[in-house]
Amino acid sequence: MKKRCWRILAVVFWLLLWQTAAMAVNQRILLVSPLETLQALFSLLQTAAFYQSVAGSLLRILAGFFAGLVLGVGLAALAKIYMPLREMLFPVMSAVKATPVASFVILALIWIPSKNLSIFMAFLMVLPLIYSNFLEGLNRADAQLLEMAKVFRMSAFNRIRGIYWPAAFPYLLTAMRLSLGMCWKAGIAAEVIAQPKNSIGSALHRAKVFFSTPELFAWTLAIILLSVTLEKCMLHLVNRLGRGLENAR
Amino acid sequence: MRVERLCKAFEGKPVLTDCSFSFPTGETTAVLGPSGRGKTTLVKLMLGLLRPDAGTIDPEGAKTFAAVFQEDRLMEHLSARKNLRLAVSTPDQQISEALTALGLPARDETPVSQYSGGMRRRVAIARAVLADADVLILDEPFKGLDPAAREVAANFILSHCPRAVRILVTHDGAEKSLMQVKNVLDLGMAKEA
Repeated sequence: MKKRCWRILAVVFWLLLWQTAAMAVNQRILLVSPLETLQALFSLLQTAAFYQSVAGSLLRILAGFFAGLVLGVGLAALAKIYMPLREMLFPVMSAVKATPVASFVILALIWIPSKNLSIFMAFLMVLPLIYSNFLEGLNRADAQLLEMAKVFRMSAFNRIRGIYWPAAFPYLLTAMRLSLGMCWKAGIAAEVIAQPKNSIGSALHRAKVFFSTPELFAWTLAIILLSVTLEKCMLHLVNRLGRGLENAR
Repeated sequence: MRVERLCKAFEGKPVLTDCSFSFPTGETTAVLGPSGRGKTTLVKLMLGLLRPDAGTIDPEGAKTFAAVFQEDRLMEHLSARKNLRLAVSTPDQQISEALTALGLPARDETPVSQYSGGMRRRVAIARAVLADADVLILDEPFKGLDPAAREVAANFILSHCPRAVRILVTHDGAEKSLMQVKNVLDLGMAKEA
């Protein structure tokens, strides 16, 4: 309870500081107040374009996220079984992880249509994180349990359910949490550059071009709120799926 | 099942040297010896979890193996019933009967991580017995059980696996009599001899 109070106090403190700074600057083009930001957000919420942009961005970024998730999990499972594949993938995954988003955005614009750029960027953010974390989790499977499984000739499916999945699941969850935030941010950044139709990135770019700072702040607030909501929904879904698999039999 | 001139060393240090023995079917053989004399190594060699440096293991027709390991080796997040279901292909009814016979709740969905040491041990025993294997290896199987539970568990093993090659690794004389040991492989003696 005490911690919760402090957290609320901290939010109030920073909002007040923001309001004070906006009043001191007194130029809407440079810094808008929290109240003006909220007003701009409410205005945006009343337009159809807002929902079209949110839906467009969500669809593209989630498509990239799920592609990275599925391929990352699949490749990690194969890499666990086949050592040569693991070694082949090591430099690729390390390079993708270390390459700055900006380099990928510029390179990708040469290779693929701009409307698909955010899908590709989201995919690239997710793939190496999911792959490396899930593989690490699989490698942490209890060696003594694996010996037991060998002696009792447990089927591959039962080994996955009873031994590998519980070991790898927490790692997958952490990777999903991390990569969802990253791919959301990278996806929006890619949209700002590529400006596909019906996207938050394009809306942000438009707000900047027309010096509409309240709208810029409102879109940023919307991005933050969507990011938090998305993460909570996704983790809830994954937790349910995880429990479902454990109780499948 | 027979082992012949079995040798195993770890990092150049011999643990098992020239170990030969026949384990008869339908009887319990005790493997004795002080710590570090290779009892667990012998068990792992017989289960195929280690490869011998020299010597042979002749299963003499035995095809399936089961074990109560020194550690319980249970899937912690699963209930006793699910632990058994995943490890052995036994009908549900038999699983319930085994759990009840060993004094465990048959329909409990509590994860075994919340069980006491004695309860966990009994789940490990149930798993090994329900596997209905040709060779049953029991590495200190009654660790953590009180005398009454030991007796129940020993009777359960003997009545359900009468035809198996039963190999009991123990330090405890009382366990030998509970398991009706007829043959003894003393690794301490073998080493000294």
